[in-house]
Amino acid sequence: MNTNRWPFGVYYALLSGLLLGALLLSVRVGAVSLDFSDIGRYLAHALRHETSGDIREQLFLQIRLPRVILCTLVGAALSVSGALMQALFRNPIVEPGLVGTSSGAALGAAFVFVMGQTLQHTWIGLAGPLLLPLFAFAGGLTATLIVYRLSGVFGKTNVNTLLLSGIAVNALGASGTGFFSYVARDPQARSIVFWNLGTVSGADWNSVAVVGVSTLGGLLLSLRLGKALNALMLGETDAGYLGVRTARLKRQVILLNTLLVAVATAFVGVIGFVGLIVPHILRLLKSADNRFLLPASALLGGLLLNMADVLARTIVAPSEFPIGIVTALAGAPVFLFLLVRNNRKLQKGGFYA
Amino acid sequence: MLEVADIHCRLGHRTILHDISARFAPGLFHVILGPNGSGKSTFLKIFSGDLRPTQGVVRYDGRPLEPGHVPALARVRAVMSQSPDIQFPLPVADIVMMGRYPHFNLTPTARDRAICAEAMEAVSIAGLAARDYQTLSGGEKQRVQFARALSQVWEPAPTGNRFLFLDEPISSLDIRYQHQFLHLAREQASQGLVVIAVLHELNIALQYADTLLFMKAGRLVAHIPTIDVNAALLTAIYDIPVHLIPTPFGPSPLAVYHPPVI
Repeated sequence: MNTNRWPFGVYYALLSGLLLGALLLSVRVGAVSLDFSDIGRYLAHALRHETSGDIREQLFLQIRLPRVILCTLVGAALSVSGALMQALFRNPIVEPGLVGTSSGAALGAAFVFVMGQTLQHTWIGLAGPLLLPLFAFAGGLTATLIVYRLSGVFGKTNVNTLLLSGIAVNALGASGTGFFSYVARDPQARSIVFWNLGTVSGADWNSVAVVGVSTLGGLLLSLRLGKALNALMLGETDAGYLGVRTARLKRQVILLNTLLVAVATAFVGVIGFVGLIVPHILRLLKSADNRFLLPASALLGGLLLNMADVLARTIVAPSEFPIGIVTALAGAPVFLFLLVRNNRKLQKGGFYA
Repeated sequence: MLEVADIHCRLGHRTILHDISARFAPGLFHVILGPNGSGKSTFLKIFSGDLRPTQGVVRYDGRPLEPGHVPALARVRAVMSQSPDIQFPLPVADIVMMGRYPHFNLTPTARDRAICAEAMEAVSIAGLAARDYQTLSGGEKQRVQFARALSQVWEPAPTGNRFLFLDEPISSLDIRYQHQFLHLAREQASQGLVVIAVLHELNIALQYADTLLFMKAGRLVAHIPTIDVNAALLTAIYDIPVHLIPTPFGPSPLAVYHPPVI
């Protein structure tokens, strides 16, 4: 059976089906497992705006459901952004974290964790619950812009300079975050540590709303770039000959990446590896065509992060594991398996050969 | 008609191109020749629209080229640059289809697919359609890029001329494909396109080009019909004694180099 011959639609259907299955599984399991009949009743109540005193219903509506949705959104955001960045830099090892976006966002978040109380009393405090995402976004954008400026993305991209400046800016961000953890009081310091390992346990409907807007908006905007990003594979000059306005394209991708990653990171912390491997898995399974990779990455990213979260919630239940550890621990072997299998087939060449 | 007027190009303190003016008529195959570092590729980048000249103007069918024209220009002007490496696995057919990107919005039409198939047939790579581009040899990659450029300007434009520019298109090809390529390039010219190629192989240029444009040290030395080429000019361009000898196979002479002066 040659799966590579299936049209894109089959993959979208398959991935959507699997994502739905993962959603159903992850709303059920956890520290408290719920039945589908209960879940249906809770949902019906919520739709009719009825409330009940049932603690399990509260748990489902206020904790479990937003968490599952947030997880899906974040997985989609990180994976789409990974696909965008790999296409922009024409380099398969680039991931959002590499160009400083998440460490910058982490620094912004650490600043709010420590200084939040003080900021509440100034005009900045008017931002209220949006304070954390705003600062994380600003941090992510600043760090990303520094790396881009240094690696000359506005002229000709030099990948070595990019990697090195990414490492340097990541180190700067980490030292800033480290400083805030050092001066922080205990609960704040613990928030910072957890945040750097990634956790979706803080999910509520506010975070779902903000991340939902940024992720769906970013995804919709990025879908229009597929063709231009494909042309960019030939290099900037040739993409220009094919009618792509490369300078504008680069600006768009940078802003989209920052929007997707910085906002998601602001609510769930640093979750590594997803953005790197999801586009790779899809390239190995089907195609490197960005018109396919972008929507498929959203589906597969949501799916994988949900599965990771199910593991994070169940392996040490009723306590829970940082999801960032799970994504790396479970993702790496899957990735290696696919690489090895692909080498045996000797079908694809180049980077995967 | 492609016109360039008073083109100067400076990069830093170095002047790469000095005051170049030329007109390239449709229906002819123009070849740019010159020693290494004479500015051939820079000149091609300038009239292709990739590089802006420090001074001077490029006109397509009388219209000055501006940065905002990029998408519209791509529908009538194709450039085959020196084979780019790509970092991701893509089938050959997908690369060739990129030549149609300026012509369709989201999904290619049946016509786009047919054009790509014909373009691949024309350069004998139909059998490679499903192969991963990254696994191809240098010569095969060059043929894929040629098919891509051909598919981009395959159909007549609603108004105005079509333009096909080739930057050292045959550098990794063996003799048979060199001739196939230049034959195809000349055929495109005879269909009314403005075809311009930067070449290194003097003898092949003498055999196929309608006009030759010689560059040396960033200056345009001569732009003449191929039949007017003489040994003295070639000797002055290449700084090596060149002799032109007739062959029994056709009107174009063969350039030989003797004695080598080192």
